[in-house]
Amino acid sequence: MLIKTGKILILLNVLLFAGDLNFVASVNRTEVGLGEPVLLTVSVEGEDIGQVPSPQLPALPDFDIGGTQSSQSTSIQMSGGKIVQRQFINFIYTLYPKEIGETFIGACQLEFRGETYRTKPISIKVVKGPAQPTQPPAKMSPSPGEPGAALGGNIKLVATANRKSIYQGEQVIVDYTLYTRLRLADLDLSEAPSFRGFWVEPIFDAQRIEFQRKTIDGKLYDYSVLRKSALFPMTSGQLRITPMKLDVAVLQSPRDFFDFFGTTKTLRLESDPLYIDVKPLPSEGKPEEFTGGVGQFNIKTSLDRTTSEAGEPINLIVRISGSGNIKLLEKPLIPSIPGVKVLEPEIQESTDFVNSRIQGYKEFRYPLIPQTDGEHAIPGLNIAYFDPAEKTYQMLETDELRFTATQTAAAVELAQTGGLKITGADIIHIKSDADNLRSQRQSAGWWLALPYFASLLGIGLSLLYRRHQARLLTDRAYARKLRSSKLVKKRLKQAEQHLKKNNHKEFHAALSRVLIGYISDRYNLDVGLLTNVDIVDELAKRNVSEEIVRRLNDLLNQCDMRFSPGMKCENPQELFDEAKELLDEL
Amino acid sequence: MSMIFSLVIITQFESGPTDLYNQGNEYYQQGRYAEAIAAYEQASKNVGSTKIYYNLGNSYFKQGMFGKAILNYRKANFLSPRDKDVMHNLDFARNYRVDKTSARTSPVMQVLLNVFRYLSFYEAEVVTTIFFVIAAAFASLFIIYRRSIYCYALVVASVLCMLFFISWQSWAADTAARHAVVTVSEVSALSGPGEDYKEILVIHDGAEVKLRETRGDYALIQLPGGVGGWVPAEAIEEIF
Repeated sequence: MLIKTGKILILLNVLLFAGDLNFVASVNRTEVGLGEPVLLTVSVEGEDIGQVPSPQLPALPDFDIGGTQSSQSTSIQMSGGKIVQRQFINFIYTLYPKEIGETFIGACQLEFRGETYRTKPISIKVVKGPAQPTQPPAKMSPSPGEPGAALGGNIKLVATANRKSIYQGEQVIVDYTLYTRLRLADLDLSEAPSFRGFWVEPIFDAQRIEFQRKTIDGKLYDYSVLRKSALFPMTSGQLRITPMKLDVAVLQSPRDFFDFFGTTKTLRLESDPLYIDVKPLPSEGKPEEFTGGVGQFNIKTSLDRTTSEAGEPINLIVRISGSGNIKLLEKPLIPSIPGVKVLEPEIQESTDFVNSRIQGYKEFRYPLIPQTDGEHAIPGLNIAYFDPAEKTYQMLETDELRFTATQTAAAVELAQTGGLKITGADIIHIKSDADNLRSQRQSAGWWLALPYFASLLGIGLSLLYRRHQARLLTDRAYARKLRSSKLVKKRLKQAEQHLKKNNHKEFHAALSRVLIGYISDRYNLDVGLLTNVDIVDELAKRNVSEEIVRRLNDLLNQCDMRFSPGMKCENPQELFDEAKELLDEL
Repeated sequence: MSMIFSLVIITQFESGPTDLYNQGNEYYQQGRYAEAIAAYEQASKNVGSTKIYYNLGNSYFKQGMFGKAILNYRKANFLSPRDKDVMHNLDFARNYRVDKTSARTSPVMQVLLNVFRYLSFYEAEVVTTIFFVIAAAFASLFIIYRRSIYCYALVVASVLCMLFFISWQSWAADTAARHAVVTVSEVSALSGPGEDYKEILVIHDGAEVKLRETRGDYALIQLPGGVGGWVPAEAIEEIF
């Protein structure tokens, strides 16, 4: 015995590929009964679409919009040093058709980054009563028969809610149980209850019917739970859960011997509708950090690593666990961290039904990309939830986490795509302390060459000085030569004075002294020993040209004439010039 | 007569670089960045100062003109390489660029740059020269007096002189390379100096390039990766 539930999804996928953004609309069914919901899912997929706005729905005159949900997931890959973050955002709208007939859901529109994306319209057929499952049933459904009440309470379908009055977001468990004292051949779900206004977390959906026994009012019943769901109201007010309808085939007792298998009779069973009073969450004292959680929660944050090299992302893992409407928790707000870029989180969740409560966790993995080197501190997070048992908002706090980043400079540029802005960091403010601004020198200019010339000159001079000193000590000839130039000048001057005074004798003597003194210094000879002949011989030995030697000899001889009495020089001026010339040439 | 004289002095004083600078600061505080830019630009014509270039960079940044901001931060950095604020804002502005082509510097190179860019160009010049003179003086003393103490001093001074000389030359290489910044939001680099040539690549605001040569209204630029092309000369501005 199987329950056939119409849970075949027909996706009318219209894929519009534009840029790197996928924008697709789909419905869970194209044929729907009046009063039954159609789920319209509008999904956006692309890179870095964290700020994507909600899509604009077309005008839907033929539908009531029941509710909206959105879900996100993210995949992050690092390929070739570039971080690729693909996000999937689903916006789910619950639509209720108003009239029977053919209608359609027009194009949804999304404007993002200056581009307009559209989906293709989807046609919907609205029929009276519950729609036939699109897949033909394996067996022909028996036509609805008389109501089960006619069997005098021998068979009934009971819907129960464990609570009738709850807070918005608080869990209520709804069971559908079939009680029977008859033998059933088959049963068929003809209309599922509509949990309009609730987030549904299915706990149990019977695939096989296994009966247990129970005595009620002295009568023994077989019973089986057909469906058990945890519901979380998403709006406040009185919410109605429509009845579940079942067609059951009841085995009649065989009328005669040949009717071996007996005949069956089809009954239509209907549960009572349920009414749940949903109180809104108190607006008084609602903290800003409230993320939609109703129940009892804990929070734990951790980092998957504590060091990051070259801008590798570190995951900040925020795990909220506990019991309550876990799947409806919104992502906690991460405060801006200077020098760290926080990407959209990757969300993982898991729930279980334990001790008649939905328990589990929701994990947000925020990739953190360090922008600057050094130790970064992630401040503690504050998250608030509503505890329906205490009827107050509770705060959860986490500790500060720290990690160190190195060599971020290399990766920062890669991690950022064009036009991206780091939040929480800005340029350093202007400098505003100026009493007197002066031009700062960019470069020294030409005068900078002067110290270099001066230094080199200094070194050169000291080298020369050093050489001079060394020669003065070791080279006697050098020392004498140095002295001679001074003496020569002095003696020439004396000779000139004598010439002007017409002091012939003194003039000749002086001239002779100049020449002999110079020659003795120049060629390193001893003055006292020199006669004119010696001088001429010495000079000839030292490769002085013959002409100069001859002229010198003449001159010296003329000077020696001063010793002969009465001798008078005809032209002393000529003699002086000749002497000067010879001094230059020697 | 003395009235007129004092008036003239006041007007000259009013438009002096310091006053333009303070005026610019006031505009900046009020969020009137365009007016702040005008005041700072006027001030920077007469006075080349880190403070003016830095504030000018900030104003351009606030206006979203990242190329101009980078240009002025680099001017400020050239004058005051040890200024942390300038370095921070320069790095910060670089993150806003569209093109992420900057060549990475190896860690070793980064350390060397930090060491040799400790002094500014001018400071490196002067300090190198001072140590050269000191070294030369010790050399002279050693030559004359032959005392070993002078020889040691000469070696120390020479080594210091060489280090500062490297610092100086690292700046000199930069100024000689004609660094420039793209200051228009987007420009096409062509294969030749004229609009009929084929487009090779598109360069965006803030790209730091080297200016190879200029011909007519066009400039041949090269990106750090090596690629380059001819862009209209007014699309770029030289830093030094």
